[in-house]
Amino acid sequence: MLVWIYGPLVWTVVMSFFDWNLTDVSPEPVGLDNYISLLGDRQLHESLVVTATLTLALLPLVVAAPLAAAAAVWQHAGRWAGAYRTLLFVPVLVPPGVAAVTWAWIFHPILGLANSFLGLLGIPHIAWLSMPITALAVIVVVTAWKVFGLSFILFTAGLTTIDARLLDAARVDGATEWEVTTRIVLPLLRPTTLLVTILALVFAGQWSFAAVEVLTQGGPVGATNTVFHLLHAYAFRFFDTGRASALAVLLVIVFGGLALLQHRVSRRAGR
Amino acid sequence: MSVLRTFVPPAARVRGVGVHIGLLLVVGLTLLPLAWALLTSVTPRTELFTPGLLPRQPTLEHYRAALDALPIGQLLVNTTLIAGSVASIQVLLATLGAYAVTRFDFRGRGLAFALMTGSILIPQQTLVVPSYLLVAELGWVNTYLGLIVPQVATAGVGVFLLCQHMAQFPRELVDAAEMEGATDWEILWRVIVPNLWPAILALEIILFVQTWNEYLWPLLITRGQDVTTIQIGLRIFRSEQGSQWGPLMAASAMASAPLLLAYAVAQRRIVDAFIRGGLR
Repeated sequence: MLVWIYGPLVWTVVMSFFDWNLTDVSPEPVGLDNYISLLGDRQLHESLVVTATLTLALLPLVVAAPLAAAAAVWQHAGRWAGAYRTLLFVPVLVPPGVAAVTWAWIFHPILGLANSFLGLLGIPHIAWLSMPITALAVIVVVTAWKVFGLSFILFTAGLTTIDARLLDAARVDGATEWEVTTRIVLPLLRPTTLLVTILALVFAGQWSFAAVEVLTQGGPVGATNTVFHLLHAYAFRFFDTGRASALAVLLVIVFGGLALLQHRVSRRAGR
Repeated sequence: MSVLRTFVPPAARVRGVGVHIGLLLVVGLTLLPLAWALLTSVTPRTELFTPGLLPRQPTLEHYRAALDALPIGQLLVNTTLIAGSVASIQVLLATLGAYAVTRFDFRGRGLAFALMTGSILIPQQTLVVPSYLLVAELGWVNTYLGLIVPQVATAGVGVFLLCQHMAQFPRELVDAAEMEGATDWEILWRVIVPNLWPAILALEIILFVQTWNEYLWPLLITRGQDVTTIQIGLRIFRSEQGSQWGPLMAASAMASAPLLLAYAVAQRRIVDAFIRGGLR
């Protein structure tokens, strides 16, 4: 582990101070130049906006929606609860690269199911992956599809710790279902909700990587170029190791910090 | 279930129907891409260009084409072997690591724990450049070693999970074994591991699924179709000129089949594993 995690980590920090293109020409020490040029790079600014937009768009789909679904299954599904849970978890087991190509087929500009459906409604075909907004929307959909089941299961696990007698007691006292949900279930679920939200904030960019790589390669015109995809492009398309390493160091600091926060939070949640 | 549930007022019944409709919609969206891929995979090429949901003359031509173009059986075996070895080695390392820091009080114990679990905090993508260079230096590009060894290193989650279980392990059992003269090694394998079996199995399942689904690392480290994983292999059906959708969907179906079949057999166990692992 020391060799494969902290070795590379140290190496990354060192390389971030050099200019090197992975060839035999030896690396040039350039001090902070990589960081300075990185911070001035418009691509990075754009990719930060893309990552933030993607994350914000994902939050309702991978936090609020699974929460609602899990609560609905738990409170109302009765004997069908097991079946719902089984089916909703399925995408977690589908490899992201496979998920991405099946969605690529659905959003195919001419033959895709999405456009056939729009055709039925009389809406002209959309070239989903060729326009910035729809391309980003597709990435959000594909990523959310893959992650929904995991959040759903985490919420389900959180719900099972709640004593159902508490809800029955409230009902006997005349509370409406809505009140039961908002006044009892949601507050008791808060630790899980917080955990899932932070997981989403930390991992949204990483979860979407396969979708971006398969569907859009960061395009069109950088509209789906998340910071992780940009890092990948710096390193393996432009072979700019120094700049890639500088970006990697910054990402470790930001996302490592967020993950540390999650750690703290989940520990305080008492698990 | 309480007795109170037996009386369902009409309003609740209506709401129940509404909830089911909503949930069925979500389930529909969840299964849609898979169902559609499956349908496409049995639709003759000539019919792909005509509208219509169901194929008029279902065919297995795409499966044949996919199997001809890609050694799918080999790729599935590769993926299983890689996921199996990464998961098993990680579980072994995590067991030893967790045992070391929970049982023994040695200098630097806190540091060892922090270093092992700290790796959780580092996004994988940030380490791929140096890892790749290291693998290249070792001549491991496009080998099973290159695929397996670096992935084993991310054992932080496992250490963390098992540490929690071992810390809560009943002290009396360990003391009793010590009284009978068991060595530390025997205590680990004869007392602790058998009792933590559910947690260890859960960890193995999570890590297996995670490695099976790993996209970035095999993409970088493999060339061609010999040692790569199934989802990277699928890429040959896509090109700048367009994709061969029929064979691609057939191959996707075959790629998803093993894990989904395992899920059909052991769904409770698999879901349970993710519940344990997710709430760390």
